[in-house]
Amino acid sequence: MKRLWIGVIGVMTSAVLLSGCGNNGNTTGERPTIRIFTRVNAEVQFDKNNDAVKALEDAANVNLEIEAPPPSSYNDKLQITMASGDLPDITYIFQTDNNYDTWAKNGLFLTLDDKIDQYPNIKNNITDELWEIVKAPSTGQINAVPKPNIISHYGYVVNQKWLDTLNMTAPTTLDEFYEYAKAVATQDPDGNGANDTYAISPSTQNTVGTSVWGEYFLMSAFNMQQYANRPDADGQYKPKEKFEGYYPYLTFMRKLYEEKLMDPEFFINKANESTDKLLQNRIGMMSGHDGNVKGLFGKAPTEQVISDYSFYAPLKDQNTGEVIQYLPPAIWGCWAIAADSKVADAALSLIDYCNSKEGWLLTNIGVQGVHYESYTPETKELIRTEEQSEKCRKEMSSYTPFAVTYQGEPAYISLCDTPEKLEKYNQELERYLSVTTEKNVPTITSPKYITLQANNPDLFKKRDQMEIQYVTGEITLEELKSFIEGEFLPATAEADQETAEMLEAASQK
Amino acid sequence: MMVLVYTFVILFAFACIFPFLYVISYSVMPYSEYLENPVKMIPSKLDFGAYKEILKFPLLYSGYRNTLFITIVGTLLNLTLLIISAYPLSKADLKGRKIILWMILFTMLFSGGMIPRYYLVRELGLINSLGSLILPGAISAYNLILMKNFVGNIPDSLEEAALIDGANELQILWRIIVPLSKAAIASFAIMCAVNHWNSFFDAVIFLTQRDQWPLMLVLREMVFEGGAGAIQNVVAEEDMAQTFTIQMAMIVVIIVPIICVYPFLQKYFVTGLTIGGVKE
Repeated sequence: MKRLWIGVIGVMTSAVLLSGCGNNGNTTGERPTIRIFTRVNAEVQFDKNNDAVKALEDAANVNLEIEAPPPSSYNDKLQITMASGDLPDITYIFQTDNNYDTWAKNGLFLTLDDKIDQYPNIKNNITDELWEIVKAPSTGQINAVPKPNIISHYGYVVNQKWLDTLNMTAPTTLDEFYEYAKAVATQDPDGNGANDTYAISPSTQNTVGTSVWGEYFLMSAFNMQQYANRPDADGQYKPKEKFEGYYPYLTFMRKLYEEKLMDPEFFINKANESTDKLLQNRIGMMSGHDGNVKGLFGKAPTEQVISDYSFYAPLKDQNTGEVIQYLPPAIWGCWAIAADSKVADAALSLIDYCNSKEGWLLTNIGVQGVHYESYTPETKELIRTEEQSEKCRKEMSSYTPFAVTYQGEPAYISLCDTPEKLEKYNQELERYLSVTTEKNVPTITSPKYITLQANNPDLFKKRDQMEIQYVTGEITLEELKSFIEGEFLPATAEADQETAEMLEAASQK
Repeated sequence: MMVLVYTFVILFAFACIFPFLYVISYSVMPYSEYLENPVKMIPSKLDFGAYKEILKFPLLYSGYRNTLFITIVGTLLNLTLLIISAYPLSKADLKGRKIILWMILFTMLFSGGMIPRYYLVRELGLINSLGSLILPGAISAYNLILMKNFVGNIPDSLEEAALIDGANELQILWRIIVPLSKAAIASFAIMCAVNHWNSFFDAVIFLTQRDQWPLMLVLREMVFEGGAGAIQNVVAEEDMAQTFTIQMAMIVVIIVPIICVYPFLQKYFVTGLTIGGVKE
């Protein structure tokens, strides 16, 4: 018995000592070893069996050590990594916010202004507008390489079956939408014998929960947009709260809520819950972009998605009758190089390779015969067998490439892996583009605004809270105006002024 | 009166068991049926497709492997250090005892925080190893004080008799103290094991490789919808959220071992609540 216990303790001690052996990266052979810290969905495995990573290593002549923390805790892990000073060679930064500015100001990231010209593929694939976004507001220097992304075309996804049942066409104006909303709420489009359906159920999140500022297709009727970095109807740059359409839009949402045309429980929605409610036949439409219909393919049978759901352009502006979408440069985070990285040039060369056509294709669609069967660049048709799709799920995703687009175009239309899905997507996008004018707006980050948000979180929370309270009828318009004009706008005046000046300067470039 | 009591107890028991029924029910429900009626609890037919999906998930197996390793090795280490620390501290004539106890108590009240802890683990070379989940918390100050009190209640006369018979301190510890402390050791073993089984946040901070994720971290990533805010507003082609039925199946697969083991260990949990509270 005694020997047994001594044996157990001995094994345990050995196990503990062995478990303490970490995996320290070092250069293997002549290839530089690059450590990458990135955010990737949980299904992707970066182990020695990942053929996509192996192919990239061989093509770029590097060894890669990829650290992918749990995506839901990415921000926590990123903060700790930055605070520890032990930075990986390449770090994925998903938002150039005040943290990014602070890190850049503290010299954690390599400054790239004088290096970009040395990397022709990076220079060729990334536009000036994207470089502006990754400039640290405090220093005005470029501290990361942008990850060019596909453009999102914002409109709405509607239950086409209900439209047909109600004998209606997809709404294009605010009045048509209102009529549609009344029909959905009162004419039992799902045929279950109860008036338990609603037009919409907002689920975009803000500082206090659900926001009503995610219904972009409705906002367009009031000349309100997702991005405020453009002039109002009077040609002036101003904060959202001063736009002509600000109060009318909120008042319209309040009307929808009062008349029970909107889901009364919307304010407890979790992020993207409107997608589930659309599939559950509880709402008739949801705000979304062209990718959202594709997203439904993963949640409902293909035939059902193709026949029952459609994507349309946003509503026309009530005053001008136009459908205009203002789009910022399409970026999905950026890649920062550690200032003290010993392989900085190799890291930049890797990113440069991934911005070349060859590298971009490799990182987006993988290796032929391993990750896909065939690929037609002209139509972006990508054919995969079931085994290859399964392999791709474990080895790569749209989160993994250094560049999602090459010269503004994606490699393929993801989630549209059959001709039927691709046809539906292309038809609806073509219909959208035929009626919508898209205009580019700059992405400006005012240093004063960053500081204001960091130092006054309660101010913004109170604004968000009061907007919801107004929509749900808890407070009056006068009470909301009293706060916005008496407290909120005076507090943000300086930051708003700086933002307006920066936008004015950007518009003249 | 008895009717009221029984009614209350039955309702309370139902409230406790309902979450399990909910999770199990939705884990075997076809996803289309869930979409049709999300509040319907009894599926019209059983569909194990969700289980088939998650059994393909490689992190599930590595999660189980890592968690079993951490639990077994961590618990054995915890108990060993607990016993060999509590016994000498239970001796009133140990020089410097009060100072040591105050130092231990101090760590219960104050902590350096997350960043100093990260630095410490990094300097020890434990980053990206399972040792980072085992070694830093190898001794719990709270458990140590409880164990010390328990051992202190064992009559000195037993030790004196063993001393007279020629036993040394280690033999007294092994042959007298440990057998008499079996109940306490079992209770602490359960508490430490559950603590290691639920290991999650340390894994987020200290582990960088996905094949080292413990089970609870795998579960969280499967169930949690990937965070709200700016990230969700970006065009993400693959939705990071798993379908609801797959999430429920994942929960079932992960809690089944604990549910199977718990009935045999329940009495030790109860005993553990009163450890150190019995006065001679």
